[in-house]
Amino acid sequence: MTTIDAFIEELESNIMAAESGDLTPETRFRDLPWWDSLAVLATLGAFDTCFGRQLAAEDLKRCETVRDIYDLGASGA
Amino acid sequence: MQARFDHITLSALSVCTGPETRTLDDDAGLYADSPGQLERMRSMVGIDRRHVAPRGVTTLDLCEAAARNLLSAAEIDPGTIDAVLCVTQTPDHWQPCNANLLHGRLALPKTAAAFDVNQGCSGWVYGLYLAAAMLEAGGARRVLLLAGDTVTHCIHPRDRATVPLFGDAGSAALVERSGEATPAWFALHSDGTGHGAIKVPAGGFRQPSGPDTCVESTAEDGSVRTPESLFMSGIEVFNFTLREEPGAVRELLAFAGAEAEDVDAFVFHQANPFILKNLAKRLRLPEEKVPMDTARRFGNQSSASVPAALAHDLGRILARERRRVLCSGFGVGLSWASCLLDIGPAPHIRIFQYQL
Repeated sequence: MTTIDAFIEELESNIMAAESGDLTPETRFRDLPWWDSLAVLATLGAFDTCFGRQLAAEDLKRCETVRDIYDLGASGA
Repeated sequence: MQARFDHITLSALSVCTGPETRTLDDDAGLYADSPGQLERMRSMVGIDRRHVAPRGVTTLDLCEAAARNLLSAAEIDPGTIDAVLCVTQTPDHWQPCNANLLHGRLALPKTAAAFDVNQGCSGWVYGLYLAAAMLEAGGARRVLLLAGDTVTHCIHPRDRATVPLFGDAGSAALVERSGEATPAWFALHSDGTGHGAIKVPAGGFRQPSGPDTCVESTAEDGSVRTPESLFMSGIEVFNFTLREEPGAVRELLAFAGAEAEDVDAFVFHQANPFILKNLAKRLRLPEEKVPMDTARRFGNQSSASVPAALAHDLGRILARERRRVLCSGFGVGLSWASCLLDIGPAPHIRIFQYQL
């Protein structure tokens, strides 16, 4: 099982705008100045790498924090 | 569907890219309000430059240049061509098809069959399947497979999500019946329920061109399009690729009784390095077996991207030696198609830029 720290690490390495340590489980990602369509794609990539399946756009819309995204993957829903 | 052929060979290949080279900096104006996004287009998506065709240079011209280069360099008598197929979604006319026009321009014999195949990023593999089927059925010994697109002509110049991704190119491959046993395995797929992910909504016969199809609108991300512009949902295409491609590759390997280690190169449709890296990661393939420099240097060339990668990334090796290559295209339709075959030594493999 991927830990939330491993997920965040994957997310930060995929999103070129993010520095290591920028993101925490409680980060409200939409408030980040660099959050855009490229960051969304990077998030989908990290999700696929960590959980082996795709994050649907409508599921991402319901997420507020990094932890919300992680929980979707970890719950296997 | 799956199919196996035993006597086909790809014996020569030419690819002609658009005459103008554009770098990402040339498109900087699209990101004037967010310079960080420009940098991330560069570092994350990974397309440095694109070869594009100006208005007036069409897929037909690029395919013709590729075909002329192939016929003369490989010393092929046009009179020996039994069929010409043209894979494109950007033909010169609604009627007649590009293959007929090229049949005329290349002075092919009246005994040759000529027809178009309307597919995009998966199209080269679909075309190779059709060429193989014609050869294996016995009616043809030499098929000229042309594939290309000028997708940049479909994109609104202010579509910031799509402009920096695409290039233009035409390709020509000579596919022949071989005397020796040369097995090739194919698996073709489609999912028409996903048609909206990549689409030019208007300008066909469902919604013909008119004043209403030229009206510009601005999307949430600031991209401008008209109903006649290409629309592409990056999210849907990304998820589609990672949902379908890994399984398709594994299915084809199982059908061929091969392991991933037996394959020398996985030549995927050159959408962009970002998607190719994710695909390699998901399939647990070493990146050196997944060429992506073609995407980086030329942009997404739609139906010409797989032959372009064979020529650009692998051409030097394939000219001298035989390699087992898995080719796989995926995109508009939605549609995806894969094949596993041995290519080379094919002395004439070349990629060049169109001269205005």
